[in-house]
Amino acid sequence: MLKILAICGNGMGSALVLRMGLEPALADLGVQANITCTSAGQAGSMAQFADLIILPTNLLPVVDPPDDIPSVVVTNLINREEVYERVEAVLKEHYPEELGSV
Amino acid sequence: MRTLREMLNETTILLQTSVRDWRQAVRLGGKLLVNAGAAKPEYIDAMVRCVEELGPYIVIAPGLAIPHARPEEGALKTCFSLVTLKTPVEFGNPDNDPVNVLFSFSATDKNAHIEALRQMCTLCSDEETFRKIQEAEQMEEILDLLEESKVSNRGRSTE
Repeated sequence: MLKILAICGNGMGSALVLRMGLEPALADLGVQANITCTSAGQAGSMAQFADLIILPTNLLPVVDPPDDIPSVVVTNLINREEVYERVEAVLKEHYPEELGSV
Repeated sequence: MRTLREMLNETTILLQTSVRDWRQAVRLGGKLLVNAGAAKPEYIDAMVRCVEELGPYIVIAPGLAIPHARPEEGALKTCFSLVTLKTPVEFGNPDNDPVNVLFSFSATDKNAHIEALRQMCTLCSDEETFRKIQEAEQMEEILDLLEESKVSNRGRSTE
């Protein structure tokens, strides 16, 4: 079970949209995950407990993801293909054992 | 949970309007929420401040922004508004600018708006539908799109 942190400004707009894109992608990839949405302000303290971080490209200047936690950066948040491809690439690199586990 | 169709009406839809800049566009979206009794006037300032402080990340896809603030910043009800622009504006988001569709929202808690947000994403992620939203001149065109998507959603569920 992967712990995924979806980050946006307030944790209730873009982060929810990211989660909506992630859920079908993870289901398709056979990855079991617990996705938490949070704000940029709380991301710093919560990131250390996450296995994976997902955030919009334009939040990178505000949220600096820790180097040791794999992060997925998405530009078009409602493009299911983009979300799928980017999360798949990061999972293959960092958590290959999780793919197809469910 | 109220659907997008139940929130969007003559009070909360403003099509093909002209604005000076992104701030005025966001303010208009907020004003519609205030007019609908869904937010206090100070919510509008919070929506603008959110972009000023955190950047243009609310531009979630090419042409599409979702301005909002936090529940405690003056949200009274969960509601969405739709503003479309005759001439697109720049938010300073190099990937997704310029923007001509703004779905603004207020939410009474962090989850109250999820279903409507999901409907909005489904609508806008379909290229043809998004183009129709961008080009719509009459409110009825938007309501028809919402009805169509409701019908197709029903078709997929077991209702």
